[in-house]
Amino acid sequence: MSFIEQIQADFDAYAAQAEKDSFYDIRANAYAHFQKNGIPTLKHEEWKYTNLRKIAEGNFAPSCLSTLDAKSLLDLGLLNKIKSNKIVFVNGCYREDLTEWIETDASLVMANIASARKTHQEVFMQHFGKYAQTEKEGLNALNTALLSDGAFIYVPEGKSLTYPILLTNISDATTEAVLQQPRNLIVLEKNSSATIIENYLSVGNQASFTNVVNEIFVDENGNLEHYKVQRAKGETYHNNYTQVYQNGHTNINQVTLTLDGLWVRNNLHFYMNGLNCNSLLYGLYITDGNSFVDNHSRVDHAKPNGFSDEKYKGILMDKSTAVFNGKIMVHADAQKTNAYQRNQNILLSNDATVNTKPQLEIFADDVKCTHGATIGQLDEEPMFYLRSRGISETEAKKLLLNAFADDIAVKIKIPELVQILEEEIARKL
Amino acid sequence: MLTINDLKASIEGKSILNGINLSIKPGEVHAIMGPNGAGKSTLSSVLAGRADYEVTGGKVDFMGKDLLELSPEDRAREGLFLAFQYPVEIPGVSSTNFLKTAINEKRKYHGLEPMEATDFLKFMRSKMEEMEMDKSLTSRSLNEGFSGGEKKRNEVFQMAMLEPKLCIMDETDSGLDIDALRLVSAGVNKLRDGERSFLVITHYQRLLDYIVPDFVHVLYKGRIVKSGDASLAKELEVKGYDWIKQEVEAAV
Amino acid sequence: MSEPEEDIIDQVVSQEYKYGFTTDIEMEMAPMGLNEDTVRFISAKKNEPEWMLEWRLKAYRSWLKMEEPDWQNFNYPKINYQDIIFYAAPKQKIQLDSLDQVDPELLKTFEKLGISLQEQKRLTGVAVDAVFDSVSIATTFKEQLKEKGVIFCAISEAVHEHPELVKKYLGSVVPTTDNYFAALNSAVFSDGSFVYIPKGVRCPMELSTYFRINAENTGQFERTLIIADDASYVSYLEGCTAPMRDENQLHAAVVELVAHEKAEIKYSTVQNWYPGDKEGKGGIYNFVTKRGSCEGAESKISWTQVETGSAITWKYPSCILKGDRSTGEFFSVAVTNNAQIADTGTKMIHIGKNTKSRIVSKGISAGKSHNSYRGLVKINKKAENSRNYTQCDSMLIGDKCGAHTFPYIEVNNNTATLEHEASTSKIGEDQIFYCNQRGIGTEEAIGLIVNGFCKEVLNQLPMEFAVEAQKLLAVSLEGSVG
Repeated sequence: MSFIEQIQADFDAYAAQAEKDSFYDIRANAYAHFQKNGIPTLKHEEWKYTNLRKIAEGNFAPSCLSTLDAKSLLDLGLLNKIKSNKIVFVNGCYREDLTEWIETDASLVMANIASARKTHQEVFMQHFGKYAQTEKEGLNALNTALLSDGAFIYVPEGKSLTYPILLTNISDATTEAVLQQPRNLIVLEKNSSATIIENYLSVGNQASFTNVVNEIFVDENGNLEHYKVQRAKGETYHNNYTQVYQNGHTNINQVTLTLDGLWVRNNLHFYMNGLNCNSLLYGLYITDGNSFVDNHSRVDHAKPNGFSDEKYKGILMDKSTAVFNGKIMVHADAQKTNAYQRNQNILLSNDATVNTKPQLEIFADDVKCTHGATIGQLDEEPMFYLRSRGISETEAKKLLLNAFADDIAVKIKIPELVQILEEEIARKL
Repeated sequence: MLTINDLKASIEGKSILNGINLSIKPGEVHAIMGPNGAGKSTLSSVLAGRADYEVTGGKVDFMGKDLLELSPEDRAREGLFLAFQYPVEIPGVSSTNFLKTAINEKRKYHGLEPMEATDFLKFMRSKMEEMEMDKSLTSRSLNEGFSGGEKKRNEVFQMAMLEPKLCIMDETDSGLDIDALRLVSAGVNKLRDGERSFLVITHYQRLLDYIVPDFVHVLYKGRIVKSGDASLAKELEVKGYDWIKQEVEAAV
Repeated sequence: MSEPEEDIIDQVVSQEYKYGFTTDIEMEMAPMGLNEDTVRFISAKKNEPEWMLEWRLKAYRSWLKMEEPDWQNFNYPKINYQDIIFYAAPKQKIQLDSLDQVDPELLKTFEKLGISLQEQKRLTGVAVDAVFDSVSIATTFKEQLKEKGVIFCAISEAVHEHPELVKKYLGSVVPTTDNYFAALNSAVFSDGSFVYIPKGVRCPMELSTYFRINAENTGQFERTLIIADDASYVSYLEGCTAPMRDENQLHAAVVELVAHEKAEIKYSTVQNWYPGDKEGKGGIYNFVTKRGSCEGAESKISWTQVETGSAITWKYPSCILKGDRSTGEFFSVAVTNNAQIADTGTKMIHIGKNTKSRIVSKGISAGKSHNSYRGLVKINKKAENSRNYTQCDSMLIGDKCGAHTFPYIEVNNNTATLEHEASTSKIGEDQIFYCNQRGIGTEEAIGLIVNGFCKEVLNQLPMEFAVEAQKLLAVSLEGSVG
C-alpha cells in the first residue's frame, strides 16, 4: 500500500467509528484540504529547497506497538534529571505510566489530548484547529486529520507553572517504519506563565516520519518559554509546525535546537495580534553526514509597537544541507514595529550546502527592520592564534564553535540544555 | 527683534510652557537657564516650529511678523536659526550640498537669484577660514560619524553661513569637553556683531564664561521666574537651583 | 502627518509626467496580434536572411508552449497578445546616411526629450543610437568609433553587416527559451543596439541608446547585444520614455552582454517609462531580461540602474561569473510612487574560482506603491574563494506603500564568503525638521535625503546622467512625505 493509500485507509477507518461532533468536523475538513493539496512538492515556493519525495514515497504506518523500555531510555538522558513535569508519547501514543506531575495547583492542566478534549471540552474546542491553518499546508492538514495524540497544556488566568513541562516524543522504529503525528495544544490565559520543553528522541533502524503540529495561544500579559530539542537520530524524517498566536503585552522566547536527524523541517509561525508583543526566535542547527535541516519561520507583526528578534545559527559538516527561510511580515497597522532577523552559517566541509532566504515584507512606514545573512568558514586568524598557544586543532575548533553558538546558548535559561548543546558540538567534531 | 508674549505650549496634552514673556533687542545676548524639565528645550522647539508641540496661547513677534503663523522653513528664511542640541545625521548628503540648498532656498524666498556655484564655494571657503573649520568636514556626509564636538562646531559653521538675525542655541554645551567648548564659543563670539541676537539655552553656567550674556533668565515650571545680568548665572553656579525653587514655592 | 505635508503630497501626485506627449507622424505597422505571419512580416520588413527568420520562428514556437510566469507577489491584468501591434515604424527609409534624411518631426521629438541627434550639438563624450517604436532612427558618431574598430549600430543593421558576430552571440547569454518574455522578444524583436569592442580597445566615448515608445497599442521589443573582446572597455547607457496613454503597453526587451578576458562592460540604465496616472491607469509593463556573461578570466560586468518609471517593472539584470577572478556588480535605485510596482534585483551566479560580486540596492516606496528587491546569489561547487557582499536598503514614505526583500542565497562551496545586509526605515521626521530649520522646504528636503540615501548608486553613473537621475528622483517623489 502506498503512503497516500495508507492515509486514505486510515482516515476511512477513523471516519467510520468517529462521533460526528465539531472535533470530527475540523478533522474531516482538514482531510478534504489534504486531498486537494497533497504533500507539497519542490514547485511550492515554501518547499523550493526541501524535498518531500522520500516521505511521499515512504512506507510509513502508525503503530502503538512498541516493546521499548522507555523509562530506562529516558533515565539515561540529562533532560529527565531536570525537576519538571513529564509527559511522554511513544510512536504518538500516550504513556500514562511515565507521566509525572509535581505541580500542586489543581487548576493547572497537563493531559493527553484524547482525554482532555472530553475533560476540558470547552477550552479545548475553543482553541483546537483555530491557529494552524490547513487550507494551504498539506502536512498540517494531514496531522489535523489523522493526529495520533499529544499534550494539552492549560494555564488558567493569573496562574504560573512552578516547574517546566518536559514533553517527550519517542519514535520506535525497531521493527517497522513508523508514522507518528503528535498534536499539542498549549493555552496560556491572561497573566499566566509557563516553560515547556519539547524533546524528540528515536530508537530503531527503520525509518520514521514524525509530523508534529503545535498550536500555542498566549493571552494578554502571558509569558512563555518554549524550547524544542530535536535529537531523534537514524533515518528520521521530522516535520514540525508550530503556530503561536499571541495577544497584547505577551513575551515569548522560543529556542529551536536541531542536533540530529536525517531530515528535519521546522516551521515556526508567530502571529502578534496585540500591542507591545515581544517575540524572540532563536535557533541553532548542527548538521553532519547527509542530513538536511530546514528552518522556516514567519513573524506576522499585525499590531503596533511589536518587537521581534530572530537569530538562527548553523554549523554544517560533511555532505549536509541547511535551509533557512525567514519572513518578517509587517502589516499596515503595525506601526512602530522593530524587527530583526539574522542567519549565520559556518561551513566546515566543502560538500556542505546552505540555502538561505531572509525576507522582509513591509506594509507600514514607521518601522525599523533589519535582516542579514552570512555564510563563511571559521576564521583562520583566531584558529591560528589558538594553535600557536599550543591548543590542538580540534580543541581550537571546539572553542570557536562554542563561541559561535554562544549567541544562542545565552538565550537558553535551562543549564542542562546548554550542556547538551556543548556536548553535541564536541561529539560531532 | 523678538517679543514673546504670554507663550503657552503643551505636548500630548501636557502643558510645558505656562506663559513666557521675553523681549530681545538687536545685538543682545540672552541666556535661559533652569533645572531639568523646566521647559528650556520646549521653548527653543516652539520658536523653531517643531510640529510635536502645540501652542495653546500667547503671541511671538519676530521683526514685525507673527512667528507662530510661519512654517519652520519660513522662520529660518526670515533669519531664525536653531543650533540643535542633537544635530541630525543625514547619510549621503554632504555639508556643502546641504548648505548650498539652504542658502539658495532662502535667496529664492527673498526674491534673489540662486548663488552661482563658484561664488558659493568662494563664500564657503572664506567662512571656513573665518571659523577655522577643517576642510574635510564639508565633504563628509552631514553630521554622519561626527564626534559631539564636530557636530556642535558644524552647527556654528552653518550659523556663519546662513547669517541669521537671531540664533537660538539649545544646550550647545552638552556633551562637550572643555577644548571643544572653547572652540564652539570662540566661533559664536566671532558672529557677535552688535546686530545679531542670541538666545543661549543652557543648564550649566560654564558656557556663559565664554559667551557672556547681557541678560540671564531662570526658567522654572514653564515660566521665567527670575531675570538678571551675567552675575545671576554665577550665583546659580554657586547656589544651585534649589533656592529659586524654594522662592517660587514660597511665593505660591 | 500634518496638514501642510498632505498638501504637498496632493501637489506632487498631480504632477504631470513631462515626457507624455505624442509625436504625430505617419507610421507603418504590422497587423494587430501575433502568429507566425507576424514573425515573418517583421523579418521580411528587416529584409533578414533565412537563418534569422528560422531563429525567430524557433523562438516563437517555444513561446507558444510556455506559460506566463505567476510567481510574483503582485497582480496585473492578463496581457492579450492578440491586442498588441508588434511592429511600428515611422514611414520612411530606414537606411539613413545622414540626419538630413530623418523626418524633422522625429528630430524634434528627440530634441524635446533632450536627446539631440545632431552630433555637433551633442556633448562630445557620448554616441547615441535613437530607437523610435520599433526601429533605430539614427546612430551618431559612427565614423569616429569606426576608426577605433568599434561597431555601434542598430541590431537590424548588424544582422546584415556582421552576421558572423550576431550568429555567434545572439541568444548565447539569454537563450530563446530562457523565459516567457525572452522567448517572445526573440520571436518579434524589431530593433535595438549592437556593440562590438575589439581586443584591447577602450571605447573612446560613452555609448547610449535612447528608446521612445510612441505609437498606440504597440509593444516594444528591443534587443541589445554588447560584446567586449579581450581587454576592452565600454560604458553604455540606455534611457527611455513613452507618451501618456490609458492602456498599458508592454515593453519586453532582452539585453545580452559578453565580456571576454580582462574586458569590462559598464551598463547603466535610467528608466523613465510612463508610470501610469495616480490611480494606476495606463503605464508601461517593463518586463525585461538582462544578463551578462563574464566569459573570460578577470572580466567585469557592472549594472547600474535608476528605475523611476513604468507601471510595473520586473527585471533582474544578472551576471554569470564564468571566468576565474571575474567580477559582477549591481547597483540599483528603484523609486515607486502612486500605484507603481517594482520587482527588481539581480542574480549573481558564481561559477569560476575567486569570483566576486557586489550588490547595492536602494528601494524607495511612496504613495500606494510596492517595491521589492528579489535576488539570487549562487555559489557553485567549483567556485572556490568566491565572495559576495549584498546591501539592500529600503525607505518608506507614507503609510500606504510596501517594501519587500526576497534574497535567495545558495552556497555549495565552503570557501565562499557571503554577507547580506538589509534595512528598512522611513525618512526621519527629525531629518526633515532639521532641513526645515535651515530654510529648506519639505519637498526639497525629501529630495536631498533621498539623493543622499541613493548616493552610492548614483556615484556609479556617468557624470551627466547622474545629474539627470538626481532630478528624476526628486520629480518622482516630491512631497510624498510621511
